[in-house]
Amino acid sequence: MDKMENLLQVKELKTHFMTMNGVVPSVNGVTFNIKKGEKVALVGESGSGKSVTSLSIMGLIEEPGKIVNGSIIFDERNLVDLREKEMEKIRGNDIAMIFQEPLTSLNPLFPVGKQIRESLLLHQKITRKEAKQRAIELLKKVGIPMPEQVYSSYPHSLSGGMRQRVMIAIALSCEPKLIIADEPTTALDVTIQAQILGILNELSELENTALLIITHDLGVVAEIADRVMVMYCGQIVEEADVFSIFDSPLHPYTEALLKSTPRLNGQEKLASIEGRVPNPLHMPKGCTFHTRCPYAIEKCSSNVPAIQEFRPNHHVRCWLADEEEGGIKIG
Amino acid sequence: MEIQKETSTAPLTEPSKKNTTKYSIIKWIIPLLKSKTGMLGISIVAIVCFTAVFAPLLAPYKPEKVDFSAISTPPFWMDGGSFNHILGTDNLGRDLLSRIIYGAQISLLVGISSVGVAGVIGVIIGLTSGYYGGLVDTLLMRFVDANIAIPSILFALVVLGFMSPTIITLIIVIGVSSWIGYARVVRSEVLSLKEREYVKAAKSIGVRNGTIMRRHLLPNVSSSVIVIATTSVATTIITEASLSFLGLGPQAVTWGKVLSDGRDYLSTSWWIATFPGIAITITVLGIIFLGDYLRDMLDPRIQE
Amino acid sequence: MVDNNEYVLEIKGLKKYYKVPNSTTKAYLKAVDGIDLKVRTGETLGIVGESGCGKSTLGNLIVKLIEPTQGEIISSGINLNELKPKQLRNKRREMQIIFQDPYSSLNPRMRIFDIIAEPLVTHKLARGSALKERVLQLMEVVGLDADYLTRYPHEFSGGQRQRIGIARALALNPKVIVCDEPVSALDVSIQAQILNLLIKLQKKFDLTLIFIAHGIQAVNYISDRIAVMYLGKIVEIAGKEQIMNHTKHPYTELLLSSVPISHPKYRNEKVKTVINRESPSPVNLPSGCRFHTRCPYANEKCKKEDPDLVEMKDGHFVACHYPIIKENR
Repeated sequence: MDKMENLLQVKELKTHFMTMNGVVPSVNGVTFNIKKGEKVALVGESGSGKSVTSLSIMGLIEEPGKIVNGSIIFDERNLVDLREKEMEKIRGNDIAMIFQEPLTSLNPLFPVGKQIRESLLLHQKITRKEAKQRAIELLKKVGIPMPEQVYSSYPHSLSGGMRQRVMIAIALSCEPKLIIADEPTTALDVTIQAQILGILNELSELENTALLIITHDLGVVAEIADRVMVMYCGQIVEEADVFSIFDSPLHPYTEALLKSTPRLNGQEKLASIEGRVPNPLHMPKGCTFHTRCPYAIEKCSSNVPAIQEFRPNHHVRCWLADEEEGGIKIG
Repeated sequence: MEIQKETSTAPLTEPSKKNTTKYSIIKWIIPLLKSKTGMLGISIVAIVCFTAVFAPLLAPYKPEKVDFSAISTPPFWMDGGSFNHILGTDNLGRDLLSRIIYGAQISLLVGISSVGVAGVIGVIIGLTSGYYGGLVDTLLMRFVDANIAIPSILFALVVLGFMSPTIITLIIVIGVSSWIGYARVVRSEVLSLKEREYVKAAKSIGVRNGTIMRRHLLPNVSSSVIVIATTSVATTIITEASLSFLGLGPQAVTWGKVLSDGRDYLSTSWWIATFPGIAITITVLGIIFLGDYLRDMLDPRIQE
Repeated sequence: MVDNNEYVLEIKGLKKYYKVPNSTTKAYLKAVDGIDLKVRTGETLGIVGESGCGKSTLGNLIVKLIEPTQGEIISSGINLNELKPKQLRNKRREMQIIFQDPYSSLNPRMRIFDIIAEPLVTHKLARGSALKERVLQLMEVVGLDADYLTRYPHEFSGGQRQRIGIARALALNPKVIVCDEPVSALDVSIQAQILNLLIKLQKKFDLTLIFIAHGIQAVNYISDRIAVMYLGKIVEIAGKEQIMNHTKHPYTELLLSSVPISHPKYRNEKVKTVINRESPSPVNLPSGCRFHTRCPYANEKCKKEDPDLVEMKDGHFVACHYPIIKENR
C-alpha cells in the first residue's frame, strides 16, 4: 500500500497514568494508520483506552498521564516530540476534535457565531466581514436552519444537537485534514444522533477529511465507518474493514459485542459477556480478555497473543487465530 | 500494511492480591507524609494537644504562682534573664512559660467545645432547611441572613457584658454566634444531595424523613463539616483571645488573658504579650494547615 | 369496570407541571401533560421517548416520588391520592424503582449489606440472622457474590452497582418495578447482562415491569407492549409487534428510522426520515398536535386540533389525525 497515503501513523503507542495506587496502562502498545479521507472507528467500552488514544494524538494528555513509548507520525512529523507551541498549531489547523459534551467545549460568555469567527480569523487570512460570512456558511453547511439567528445565540440557548453542530462548524472552520470525534452522539437523542452522523458522513466525503470516530456503539460504526478497530484493555484486539467486522468477526470480544447489542429486527436472546473489564492496576496475565472469554484455552492465561494478519487486511490479537492452534474456531 | 506485526508486549503487571479496604490507613498516611504542610499542621496540633493534656507535668510552675522576687524577668537569653524562667515572668512574677502551657488547656477547650456547639446547631438547621425546603427553608435562611448582619464578636461582647464570663458561658456564646457557616454549607450540600438517586430510593422504600437525614445525608456532609470545624477551631481561639484581651474572658489562664495582661507593659516588658501571641499564631497556623490537608483528603475525587 | 386482576396500575389524566422560575409571565413546563395508561398485571410495558418527553417524570409519579399536579394513579383498586402518609408508606412496598445512574443510586457511605437491608429494616420485616439470610438470598438472585456483603459501593463496577440497586428494589417483594433507564449508563456488554437479569426476575417473581428508556432497541428487547411518548403525552401505544411492524404514528416512524443500522450492508437500503428540526421546548408547546412542527405529513388541521389517543384496532392506540396505514413493512 502506498505509504504516502498515510495521514496518521500511530506506532507502539503507550500512554500510562502514574496514579497513587500504581501505573495504569491506559494505552498499552497501540499501532494503526489512518489514510487521507478515511473514516475509521475506534470501538471499545469504558476503560478500553479509546479516549486516551485520541487525547494522546491531540497532545492533550495531562499529569499524571504520560506517553511513555511510541510515535505518532502526522504529515511526516512526530507529534510526540513536538513542543506545546507547535502542537497548538497542529491542533488548530490540521487536526480538530469534537467532544461528547459540546456545552463544556463552548465558551458560555460569547455568541456561538463569534466563536466560529474567531476560529476562522485565527487560521485564515481574511477580514472580519468575510469571516462572519464564512461562519454563517459553515452553520448552514452543518444543517442549522436560520443560521443568521443562531450566529448571535449563546450556547446555553441552543439544544444539545445544535451545540454539537456548532462544534462541528468550529472544527470545520480550520479545514482540518483529520477530525477526531470522541463519542460525538452519545449525549444526544436518537433522532438527533441520526442527523449528526449524517452530517459528519457527508462532510467527511465532501471535503475529503479523514475521520477518527471513537464510540462504544456498534450502530454508529455500522452507519459511518470504513474501517474498524476494536480496543480492549488498552490494546487493539481486532482491526478490519467494517464489513468483515460485522460479517465475520475473529476476536471473541468483537463477536460478543455484536451479539450483546440489542437490535430492532428481534433476536431471541441477547448474549451477554459475563464478568467485567479487569481492574487496570491488576491486569490478568496473558490475553487480557481470557477471564471473560468463552473459548479461552490454557495458553490464553499465560501468554500474551500478538496481533497478526489472519486474513488479508484483517488483523486479530488472539491465540485461537494462531495457526499452530489450528486457526480460528469461531465466527 | 495497516498494522505491523508486533511481538508480544512486555509482561503486564502481576495481579496483586492486595485487599483495598485493609490498606485504607496506608492510603491516608502516604499522602500525609508527602504533604509538607499537612505534616507540619499535624505536628503542631499534636504538640499543642500534648501540652494541654500534660500541662501539670510539663509546666515548671503553677500558673498562678506569684513570685515577687522575680517580677518582669526577661527571657533567659537577655540580660537579667535566667533559666529559672525560660520565657521570663510577668508583672507579678508569674512564669510565662507555665502560663502559656496551662493557657493551652483553656484555649483548646473553649476552641473545641464552642466549635462543637456551633457545629451541632449549624448542622441541624442546615439539614432541615436544605431537606424540607419551601417555607421552612425560607424562614431559616432569612434568620441566617439576619444573623450575618450582626458581627459575632459584637454579639459576644453584648452577651458577656450582661452575664458573668465563665468558661461555659464563653463556649455557649462563641458557639451560638458562629453556627451560620455550618448551616449554609450543609444546606447547600443537602440541596444537591437530596436529588441523588439513593435519597429517592430511600423515599421510595418508605424510609422516614428523619432517618433519611440521619442515615443518607448526614454522613455525606460530614467531610465538609469536619473541614469547617477544623478551621473554625482556629478562629475560635482568636475570638476567645480577643474577648479575653478586651477583658471579657473568663477568670482563668487563657492565651488571650496572658496576652491582655501584658498589654500595659509592652514598652517595658515586651515578652509578656509577645509569647502568648506567638503561641496563638503558631497554633492557628497549624490548625489551618491541618484543615487544608483534610479538605484535600476528604474530597472523594482525590480519595478515589 | 375496574378489574383488579387485569390491571395492576391505572393512570387517569395524569399531569405534572413545573413553574418556570424567574419568568415574569406564568410559564409552566409541562413535563407530563395528560396521560391515561393501564398497566396489565405481569406485563413488561416499555416507555420510550427522547429527553424531555416526560418519561422519567412519569416514572417518578408512578412510585410517588413526586406529587402530580392533576390526575389519579390507581394501584390495585386503591387511589394513591387518597392515602394517608402511613398507608402510603405501606403501599410503597408494592412499587419500587430502579434508577439510571448506578453511581448516584447507592449511598457511598453504606455497606452493601446495609443498602440491601434498608427496606427490610424500614418495614421491620426481618432482623438479625433472618435479615442476613434474606439479604444473601437477594444477592444471589441478582448474581452478586456473598463476599461483597461488607464492601462499599465504590469498589464495584457500574453493572454490579445496578445489581445492588435491583436487589434493594426486590427486597420488599414488590408487584411493580419501574426501571428508569436502568441500562443507559452501562457499557454495551453489561447492558445485556442487566436486561437478561430483569427478564429472568420478571418471570421468577411474576413482576410487572415498567421499563423506561430512550433507546428503542432495549425497550423492544424487553417489553411486551410499548408506549411512545412525545412532549408529555403518549402518542402511540400497542403490542411490540404492532409498534414495530404496523407503525401508525409519524413520530414512532421517525424514532424507528433514526435507530442506527445493525449492519453496514443496510447503509443504502435504509429509508431515512431525516427531519432537520429538533423537538420544541416543553415550556412552549406548539398548538394543535405537538408533533406537527416536525411531522412530514402535517397539514392545517394538525396545527389547530390536538388529536386524542384513540384505539385503532384491538389495543393499538394512536394520537394522530392521519395515522400511517401500511399493510406490511
